[in-house]
Parts: sequence; C-alpha cells; structure tokens
Amino acid sequence: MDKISHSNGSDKRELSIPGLEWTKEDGEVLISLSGSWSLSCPERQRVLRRWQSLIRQASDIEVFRISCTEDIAWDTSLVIFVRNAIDGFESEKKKVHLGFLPEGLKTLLIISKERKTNQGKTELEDIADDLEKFTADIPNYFVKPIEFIGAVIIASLELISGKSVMRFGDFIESARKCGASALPIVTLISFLTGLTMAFVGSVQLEKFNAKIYVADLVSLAMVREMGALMVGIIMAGRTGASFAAELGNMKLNEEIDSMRTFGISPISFLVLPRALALFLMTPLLTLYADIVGILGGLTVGTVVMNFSAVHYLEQTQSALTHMWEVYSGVTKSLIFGLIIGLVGCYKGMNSGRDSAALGKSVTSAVVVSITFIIVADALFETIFSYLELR
Amino acid sequence: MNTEEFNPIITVKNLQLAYGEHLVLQDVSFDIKQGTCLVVMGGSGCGKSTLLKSMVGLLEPVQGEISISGERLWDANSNGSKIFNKFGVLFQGGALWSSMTIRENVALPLEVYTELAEKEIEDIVRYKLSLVGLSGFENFHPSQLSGGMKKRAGLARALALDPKILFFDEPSAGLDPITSKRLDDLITELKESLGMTFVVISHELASIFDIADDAIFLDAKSKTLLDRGPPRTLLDQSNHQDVVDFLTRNESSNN
Repeated sequence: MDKISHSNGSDKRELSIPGLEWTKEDGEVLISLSGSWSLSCPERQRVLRRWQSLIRQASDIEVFRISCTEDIAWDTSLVIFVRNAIDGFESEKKKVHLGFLPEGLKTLLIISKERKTNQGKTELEDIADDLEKFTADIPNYFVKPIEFIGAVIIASLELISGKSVMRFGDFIESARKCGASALPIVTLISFLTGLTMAFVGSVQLEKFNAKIYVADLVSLAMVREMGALMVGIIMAGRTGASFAAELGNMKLNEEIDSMRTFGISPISFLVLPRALALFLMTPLLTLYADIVGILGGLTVGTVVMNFSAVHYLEQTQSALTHMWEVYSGVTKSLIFGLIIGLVGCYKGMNSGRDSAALGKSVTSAVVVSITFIIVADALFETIFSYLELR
Repeated sequence: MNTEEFNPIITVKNLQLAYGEHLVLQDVSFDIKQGTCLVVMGGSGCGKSTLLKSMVGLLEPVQGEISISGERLWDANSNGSKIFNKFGVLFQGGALWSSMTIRENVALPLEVYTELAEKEIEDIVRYKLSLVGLSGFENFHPSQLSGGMKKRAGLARALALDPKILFFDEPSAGLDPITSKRLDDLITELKESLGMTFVVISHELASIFDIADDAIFLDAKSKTLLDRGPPRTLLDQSNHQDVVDFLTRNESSNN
C-alpha cells in the first residue's frame, strides 16, 4: 500500500496547495482536483469554504464528474473530501461519475463507504438518554446498598458461628493499618483542634472574667463532638478511600471474580476484616483524640493563660464528672466507623472496570462517608437533646 | 454425534446472556464430555468471555440452564459450594490476589476447602508450582512476576483443589510461542493423565489444533453458536464460510 504515502516531494513544480477546478458544461459539472491535499496544509480550509459556496450555487445541476490530475499528492484529507462529496451528491439523488483517481484513493473510498454515521443524536437527545439511564438506575441506589448490607450481616453471622472464611491475620493487618498507623495524624489534628478551641474560647471567656472555663469548653467540645468528628473525617479520607481503592483495584484485576469462582465470598474475605477493624478502631482512636485534644487545651492554659496544670486538669475533671459526654462521643464514633467502613468497601466492590471509574468511586467513598457522618452526628444530637441526655 | 454414550460433564441448554439490555448470546446449547478439551472460538466481541463467565457462576443467564456434573448452576436450591470446588478458572491476566504471595495464593483454596495440615498444604503448593515451572517463586508477590509467570501461577492456583474441570480464558494471549506451547502441552498432559476436562477460549489457531478435541464457534452477528465439531472436521466440512475462514487463516500462514 505504498501508494498511500504522499509527501509533497517528488515533483518540484507541484503546487503545495490543494487545487480545485470547477467547470460547468452542458448542465454538468466537472470537478478536477489537483495539487497537494494534505491535512497539515492551511490553504485547505479556504478551498473547503469555496467548495461549500460552489455546492450551494449548483443545486440545479444533476450530474457531477470528479477526477484528479495524475500528479496529485494526497492523504486522508482528500479521501474524506471525496467521500463527503460523493455522499452529499448521492443523498440529494444526483449522479456522480468518477473519472481518473489514484488507485490507492479508489480502494480507500470503497473501504470508507462502510463507515457508519453515528451522529444522529442531538444534545437534547443525549440529555434525555442520560435522564432515562438515571431513572432506570434509581432502584439500584437503594437495592444494591441494601443487598450489600444484607450480605455483610450474613457474613458477620457466619463469623460469629465460626464458619467464616475470614482470616484473623487479615483483620489484625487491617486494624494495624487503620488504627496504629493513623496515630500520628490523629495526634497532630486533635492536638491542634484542642489548641485552637482554647485560644478562641479564652478571648471570649476573658470578657466575663471566666478564663478557667476554657478547660470546660475544650474538654466538653472535644469529648462530645470534635474528637469523634475529627477522627471520622480523618478515617474517611485515609482509610475509607484506601478501602475503596484496594477493593476497586482488585475488581479491576478480576481478583474478586476469581475469588468468587473459588466459592470464597469476597464479603467475608475482603470486606469483613476491613469493616470490622475500622468499626473497632474508630472508638479507640476517638478516646485517644479526646485525650490529646485536652492536652492541646492544657498547653494553651498553662503556657499562655498561666494556669497551673493541676488547676486546669481539676477543672477538666469536674466538667466531665458524669462521663456521659465521653460515652456519647464514643457511641457516635462506633457508628461513624461503621459508616466509613461500609461505604468505602461498597464503593470499591461496585467500582466500574476502568481506572477513571476507580478514581470516581474513591472520591465518592470519601464524599459520601463524610456526608453520612455529619448527618448521623446531627441525628445523634437531636435524639440526645429530645431524650434530655446531657 | 451421539452424546448418549458419553456422560456429558457440562451441559448448556438454550442459554441466553445479556448485560442489562445489551444481548450478547442467545439460543446456545452444547455439552462437553468428560476428559476432553473444548475450545470456544470466535471473533472478538462475540461473547466468548461472557459465556465463560456465566459457566463459572459470575453472570446470571437471562434464560436457559447450565449444569456441571449434574448440579445446576444458578439454581436457588443447588448448593453452590458443592459445585465451586469441582472446577478451576484461569482468567486472562491470572487474576492473582495481589496482597498475598504466590504460596498464599495457591494455598488459600486448600485452606478454605480442606482440613489438611500446614505441612501437607506446603507440599501440595510446591508440587503444583513445580507443575507449572514456578518452583522457587513461593515467596514472590504477584507484582514481581512477569505476565506469563502470573498466568502460570494462576494455573497452579486453579489446579490446587484437583478440579475435574478447568476453564481457561485465552491461555496463549500475551505469551511467547515457547511458553504458550508448554502450556498447551501441560493441558494435554493433564487431560490424559488425570482425565480432566478443559474449556478453553482461544484464537491462537496453532494451539486450537493442538489441544482441541471439540470446538464451538460463536458468531458476533447472529449472536449464537454457529457450528461445532472437532477443528479438523470443521475445517473440512463446515457449511459456514466464517468458520472455515477462521480456521484456514492458520493453514495459509503456516505454508
């Protein structure tokens, strides 16, 4: 097929621009193509515009004859041009006669005849299609997650009855990854949260000459709200995302399929150890974050506000005498851990089978779990306040 | 062909497969005799892998039934795990579990389905790995292996439970001719020595003529099974030009 390669080289006299001659004769039009037809030639646009206006003026003509000069140099641009010209004439029921064409061009014209035009859809139809797909998918938004949660519950029951294929080692490994390995970031963030609250609080409380209540403010806010919430957000971004990415990648590599063909439930083997580890680690991390947050407050209290450490801690202790605040924070964090683990694993297990879909499901794992955490937090507070648990 | 004399180990009846609303295959029926190798042929996009997926229990058919050793797949009453350890599956890329070493990959099915002692499992794993020429790679992770090695490790894992049936998605895709020939030889050896049944998807004509006792040809246009029979017979006698074209491609390239 070496005829297809046509650099505009061999003939020095050859025009380096596409040539188009249009001759009207006895009610017929002779179209003669010459010169160099190249995609990279800027002159081509001008020729195409001229072509459009010629066509518009030729609506009364019935017969067209297309031919090329023998020294024409061409590439894809000529194939597309001639193909479109022929298709255009034929769709208007006009006659087209082909004169001399280079051999290679003839072959390519025949091959390109079979291309299908797939542009039938307008933008509006596209939107309609999307909408249809979306509505058809709506049941999936509810059915699939419920199926997933059901499968996880069954897998947990199997675990309790000792029939699960879950390996204890996997659970420990997951617990280490989402628990112990998260300690540095949890330390930093909760220390700074406590510190910031102490600074902000001290400015306000100073006005009432009640500076020592900074200890109450920091400890209550940390224990009841910020500890669980901060750990939840860290876990969503850190562990939830990694669950989604790990499982999504396994799905991409057919690892989950191959597990199923062995009759090994991926829910028991992959989801359960991860979700369980996170469920158990989040409350522990929350307790840790509470303590570090209080230490952050203590730092401001002693260094900036000049309270003695003992005084500050005694004040903190008196604020937390009922311990209810601690329990409520830890209860919340259990649910947060559950949400993050389940959302992360669900998004991974239901990720699409290409890398763009994987990225999407990781993002969505983080966004969805943080949203759910905030919603759950608000629900908890509402319930607590109605039940007058405070 | 009289299938009454032989007990078919796999029976597929009036199978119809689809992804959502997109129909892939319809009206597919065939059976496979024990101890033979069936090759699934056809152009790309004709539903070979989809058929395999449904036969190993990953895609529920819209209609029709699949039985393996008399147990119906996709039947709510049948016991799934009873069927699952009767066959092994080898996916195109090996589909090894990337978080585990090769040893753990091969050992996991044994740990799940048998009560063997650790020492025995260790021996079995070594033996299976030597079978596919991967001795000494026990402690490697899948990411450290080449494509061909992954595929062979996947084969060792698929063989772990001594399955009666092995499903094989494109054994030679992406392998050099020598490794691919070795895999073909291994299939024939296992078939003859252990009486295993093979279902192999392949476009590699040299290997089709080598390993296949029987073949089916799926067609993308009519979305169904076009012809079946031993490849040599199909080559000489098939009434379908597509089938003959598919199989003669090899002959002409060999000459």
